[in-house]
Amino acid sequence: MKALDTRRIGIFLGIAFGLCWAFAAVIYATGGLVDSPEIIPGTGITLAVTLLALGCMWSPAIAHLLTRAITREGWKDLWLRPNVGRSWFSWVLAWLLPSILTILGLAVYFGVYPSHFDSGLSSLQQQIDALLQGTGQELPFDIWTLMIIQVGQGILLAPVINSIFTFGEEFGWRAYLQQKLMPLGFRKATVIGGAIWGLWHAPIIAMGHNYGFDYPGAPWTGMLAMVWFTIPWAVIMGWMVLRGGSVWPAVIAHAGLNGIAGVGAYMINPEATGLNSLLGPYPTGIVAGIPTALFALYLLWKGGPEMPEATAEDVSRETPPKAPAPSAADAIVAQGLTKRFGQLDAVDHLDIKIPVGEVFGLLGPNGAGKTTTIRMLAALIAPTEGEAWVAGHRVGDDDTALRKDIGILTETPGMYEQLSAERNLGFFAELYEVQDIPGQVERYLRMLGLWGRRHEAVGGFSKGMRQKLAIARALLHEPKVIFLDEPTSGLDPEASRVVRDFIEELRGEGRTIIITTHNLDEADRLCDRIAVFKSKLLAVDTPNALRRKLFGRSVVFHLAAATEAFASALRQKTYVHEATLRGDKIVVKLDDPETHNPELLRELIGLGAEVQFVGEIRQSLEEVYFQLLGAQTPAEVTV
Amino acid sequence: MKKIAVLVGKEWAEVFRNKIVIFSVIFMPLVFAMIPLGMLYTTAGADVSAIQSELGPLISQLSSACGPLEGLPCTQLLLLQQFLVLFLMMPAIIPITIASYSIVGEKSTRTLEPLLATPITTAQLLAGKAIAAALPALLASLGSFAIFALGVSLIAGSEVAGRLFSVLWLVGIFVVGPLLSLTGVSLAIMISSRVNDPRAAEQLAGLLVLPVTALFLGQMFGAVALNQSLLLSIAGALVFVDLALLYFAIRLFQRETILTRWK
Repeated sequence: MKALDTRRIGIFLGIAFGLCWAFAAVIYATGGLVDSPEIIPGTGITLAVTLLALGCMWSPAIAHLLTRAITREGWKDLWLRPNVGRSWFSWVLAWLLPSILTILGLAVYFGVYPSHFDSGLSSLQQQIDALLQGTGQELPFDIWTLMIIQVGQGILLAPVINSIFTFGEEFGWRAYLQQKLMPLGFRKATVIGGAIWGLWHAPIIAMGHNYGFDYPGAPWTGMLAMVWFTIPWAVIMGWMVLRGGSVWPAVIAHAGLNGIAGVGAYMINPEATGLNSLLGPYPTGIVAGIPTALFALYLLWKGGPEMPEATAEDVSRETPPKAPAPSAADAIVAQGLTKRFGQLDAVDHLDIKIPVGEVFGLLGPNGAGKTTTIRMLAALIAPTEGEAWVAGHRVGDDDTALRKDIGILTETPGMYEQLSAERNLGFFAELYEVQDIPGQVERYLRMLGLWGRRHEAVGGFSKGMRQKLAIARALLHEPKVIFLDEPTSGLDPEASRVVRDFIEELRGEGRTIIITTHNLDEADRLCDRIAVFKSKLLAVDTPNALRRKLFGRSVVFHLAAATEAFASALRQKTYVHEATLRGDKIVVKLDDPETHNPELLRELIGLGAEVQFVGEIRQSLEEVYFQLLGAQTPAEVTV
Repeated sequence: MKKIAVLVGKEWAEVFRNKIVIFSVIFMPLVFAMIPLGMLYTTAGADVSAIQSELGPLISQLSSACGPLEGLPCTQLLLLQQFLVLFLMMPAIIPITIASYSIVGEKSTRTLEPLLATPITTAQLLAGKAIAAALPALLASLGSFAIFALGVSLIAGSEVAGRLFSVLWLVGIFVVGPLLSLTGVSLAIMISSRVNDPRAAEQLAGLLVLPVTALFLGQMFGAVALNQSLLLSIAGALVFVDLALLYFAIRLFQRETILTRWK
């Protein structure tokens, strides 16, 4: 079962309750619901009504949006697509059910308490008389016709007009909170969600107690009645949302409910005794709420809606299935990793596998995409396409956890210049949640020869010292994978050597290290394998394997006096691809010098040649690099 | 929470080496407390009837704030009330210097990428930056208010000073002030995420002071009466503004854009 996302639920509830209750406090301080000042004189639009309708009722929607933004949840599954074609029945029910259940509820209530029913609708009549007083006008029809018009408008118009406000609630409660509670199952999610929704009304209901607004029985019985009302409606509207795959049926149902909810009050006999606000006749009343509760119980008994078949459009919106996770032997796996900046393909479908414990070099010219690759693998920027796993984490899943397991030396060793070396490392160690911070800081400062200057502000450090400090920062938390972006760039030979020796030490500890460098000699010495890279991967292998693939193997025989006859004799051997006379040297290309060199040597000696020494020609990595990039090759090197 | 606290500690260790920041956090609140006290001191032996005839309409408009106070104490209280806006201005202005430097400062020292590479979330990062900027401002404002209240008590007596703890002042100091501080900080961080120069960030965020100054001037010229309802309405509006600014501050803080487009 999927775990509850308690963090996001907490943030959502904090914002939804905090905002609404803050507005309620403002309403209370400015005269409450009844005595609130008009903000547009003569219109009856008071500060309280405005804050309630646009502030409080919209607070769950604001909480939904803010929670997604704050927690970087993304904007998928907002439940905003109407999906009318998927479940038109949800829409019809949304439109009609509030009215049907409310009228049924009133029928039940007045059936139980017939003496409470006022067939003359005198309370409505009194309101109309008060409105028409002094105007010289009369109601052109009888009071029951007005009541029917009222109910008709509640059924036909209210679901549209009130949606402006009820969307604010439904987009929060149903489209977010309910979905977050769904790991508990439909029953618990809707019942708990309904109870929370009811409690959220508390300050408004409390004000009903103080100011005689339309929450009878406030605060305590009103609160109880409200929760009794919100739980079944949360079940019904939650069911509609899940069935329709959209929040809109709930928005409409809620709007219709708000439109029809008050009609019961007009039917109450003003002289009736024994009226109990907990029992009804309002929709929040227990008796009047019986049909709603029965319907909700039926839905709970069914255990949630059967989700309709997904349409082709829905399927196309689904995320593609994830590739299987790599084996534990691989520290890094990238599959089709691509990064585009506008029209520019900075990294184009990179496929690599780097086993645990390998020192891997990324070589390429400036702008080849090396730093972009490192940033993607370090979860600093998101790939445009493709997938990658680093230290067992899929990039993009839980990047915070991924960052705990990697260390990165960025291209420029940024340090807080006014702070000491020790304080700089201490700060980062805290962020990486290092257990023994003083111990680790001391260990790395000593290893890199900076312990004696730990109290000095970094602003006074040389570039080499800063680079060493930045390396220490990348290693403090003992990461499994280390990215070193040009670790010796701009360093003097001595500092470069310290850094290289340090990398050798790390290799000894079995860490996986990815280095980008322009220093090919350094890459040759340090890296188990290298990748030559220019937006696309051009080649990846060990330096020696790349040499062999590109140039084959060549042996040079240094003679006291070389002649063409000697070269010609060597060419006769079937395993010799080429033998060239170059001054007093004969250069021989062959596949397996270890096997064939002794025979060639015997041949030359047999012909009377005085062999001074034999060596293998080893092309520099620079030569391999330029060959792969299609540029001119520099001179060969003999070792 | 720990990471936020660590970030706040680092921010303070850095910014409080800056003399301008120390000046703005200590000196400005002192000056803001002294100005109204100086004014109050000059009224101590003043002719009340002359002041009342000068400020007649204003006094009648605001005299409900005086409660049982009459004559000179009431006039003094109304005079002091004009300076409530200064105490609202402080928490808005002071954090701007610190907050403006927050993101763009990390960028200019090239520490943002290593910082973003740590397991810190954007919300923690921005919360740390915001708290580091807002907390000193709020403490300085409260300190300034304490000095001010003490000064009022010494100059005008405890009856007048006691009226400074009315709902109006308390809402101003403890609700509107922090909300304005959050406005300033969010605005500064938002701008700091988008510009390349701390000075530009500071100047742009400094524009926040304009509406508060307008309120101050409006009150001085009698166009606005800062009463409980207005202050609560401002607080309500600020809740919305702050939420919107916080939302945009988080949305505008795009790790990727900041890393790849900043040069």
